[in-house]
Amino acid sequence: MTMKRYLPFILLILILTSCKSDFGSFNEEALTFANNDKRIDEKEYQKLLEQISGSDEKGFQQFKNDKGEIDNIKVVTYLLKYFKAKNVGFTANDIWQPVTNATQEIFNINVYLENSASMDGYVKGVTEFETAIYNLLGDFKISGLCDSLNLNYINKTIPYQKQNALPADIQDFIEKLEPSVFKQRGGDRSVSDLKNILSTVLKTVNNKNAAVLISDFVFSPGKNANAQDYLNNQGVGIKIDFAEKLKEFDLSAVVIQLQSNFDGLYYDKTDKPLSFKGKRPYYVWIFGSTQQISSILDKKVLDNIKGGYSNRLVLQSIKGISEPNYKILYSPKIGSFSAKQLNTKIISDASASKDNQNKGLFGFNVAVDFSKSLQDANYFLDTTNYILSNTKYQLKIETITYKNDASLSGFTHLLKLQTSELREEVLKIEIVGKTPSWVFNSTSIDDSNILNDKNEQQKTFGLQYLIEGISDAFYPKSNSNAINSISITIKK
Amino acid sequence: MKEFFASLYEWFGLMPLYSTDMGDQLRGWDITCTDYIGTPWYVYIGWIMIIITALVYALQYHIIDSSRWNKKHHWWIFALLIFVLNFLIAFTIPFNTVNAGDFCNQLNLSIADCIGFGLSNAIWSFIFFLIISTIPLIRRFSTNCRNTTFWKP
Repeated sequence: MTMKRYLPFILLILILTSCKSDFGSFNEEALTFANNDKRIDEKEYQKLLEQISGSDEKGFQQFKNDKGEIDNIKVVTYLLKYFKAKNVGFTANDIWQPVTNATQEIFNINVYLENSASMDGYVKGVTEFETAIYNLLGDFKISGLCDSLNLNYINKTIPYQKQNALPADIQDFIEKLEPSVFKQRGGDRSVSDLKNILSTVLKTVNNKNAAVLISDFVFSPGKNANAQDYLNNQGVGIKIDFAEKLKEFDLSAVVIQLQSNFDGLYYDKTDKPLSFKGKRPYYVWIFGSTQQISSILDKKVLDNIKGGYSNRLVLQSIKGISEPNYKILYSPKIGSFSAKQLNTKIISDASASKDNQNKGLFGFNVAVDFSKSLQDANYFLDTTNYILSNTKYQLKIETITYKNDASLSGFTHLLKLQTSELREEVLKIEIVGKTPSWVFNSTSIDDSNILNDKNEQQKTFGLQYLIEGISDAFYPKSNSNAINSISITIKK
Repeated sequence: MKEFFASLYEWFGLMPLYSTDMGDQLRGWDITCTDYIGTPWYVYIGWIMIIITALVYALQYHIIDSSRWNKKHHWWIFALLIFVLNFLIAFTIPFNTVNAGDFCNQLNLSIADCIGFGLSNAIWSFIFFLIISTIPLIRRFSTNCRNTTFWKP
């Protein structure tokens, strides 16, 4: 009888203490492991994997791919996010992870340094140009990407070559360089025929060979040529060369603009030599397959250049529109919507705000991870690079800098969307490939007054024609040129 | 089951006693703000409410089952016990979560939400007790309380 009396309470206690889902237990166990010794070792990690594979609960589905196999990257990403939400300081290095057998493709890197006379000013004495390029080539050599580093000077021909360069060769190629050595290593240094140089370099690019071209990229129309016609013709010629290459090869290119002290003769659009001392821009172009360019960017070789670079542009062949990882945030928002289908990228029960402050407006935020893109992070901050299927939406973009917010962990940019005309639709946000504004700002079309005009000194004659020519080949104006696409379904 | 309890506690959208953010938290919106993969509190608290109410009913009608505890005011005492117990459970669980900040930081949760959910749970437990103690078919197995309801004897 006594037992019978207490039975309901025993049952109640049992029920109350047994309320935990498999996923809840997984979280709790992971947290215990993390708190024990501030790391998750192999044994603990394997235990967590066993829990994942032993349950079909919804929470575990996020760790599995389409075939139902566990994706370790997803597990580690989630754990880091979860620990952050629980205020446990953890990094990926604190979690044991299985070794992947992925092997890095290696390829030759052929470096072409333009040695026309206009480049002499960059190599007189010790310059930032020499330091940066020496640093860049050294990083290529030790990056693990490079099978053989081949160094070349280029003008109308390739007058100097050094195959499979050793550290001493790199030093000889750039660090010890002086204008006299440039002259001595020869070739026709009288003009910069950029179309011809690009064409020569482009021919060397294939799955085993990437190319790096270093130049001031100042066009030389010559004394008697009409500068405008010359630039237009060069632009068209360059476009055709690149379009032909793109037909047969998965080509990508990176352009970085750098600054260096310059002391020497500057040749203006009429080839008139002007003695100039000051800062001048120059450019490093890297051509290769998308895979090669992606490997170079992943290794952060460009980000490690001494002194840094001013601007970057990535041109990639569009083989298909990729969908970055993104998530619709439940809050902050203007108006209201339900969180029920957010995980399937659907905003349901949407309604505009009734507050006096935002009356009639509807808005929400989308966190996007562009880190896998070849493009520079700044490219995704420019609203002109976005096309919205509903132009009634206003778009603002921010970089995600709140490192302590677990809900934004793993995302790089925040897209803030707002409209005054809420309707049911599939809102498509496309990021398109195009020439960035810095190219236009860095372009000179008349450099004859360069000695007196400070602005002109920071510009490059004809740059826009060069880059637009190439950009038109990568992103023909007749195509949409979307490189990334995001879709959000909005239901009232 | 989750949506069944959710619509019950949210009074079918007619009279929600707490915010939609609290509703999402109780549906299991997880701490990383990813999906409804956290603890589905609606289901757990719903079942706890049913079990506690059934147990207290069993306590009065079948375990104590005494002629000294079979009047209508005794029914109201047990009803009060059920109400308070269920309020405390449904209040305490989200209250602890809110206090610990153990929820998605995009949700805006307050103590008023916890009280609202506690009340909602308490009211449903009362309704459930009312129903099971009113149906003669269930209480006829009791020896001394087979005629005890909220209005008699």
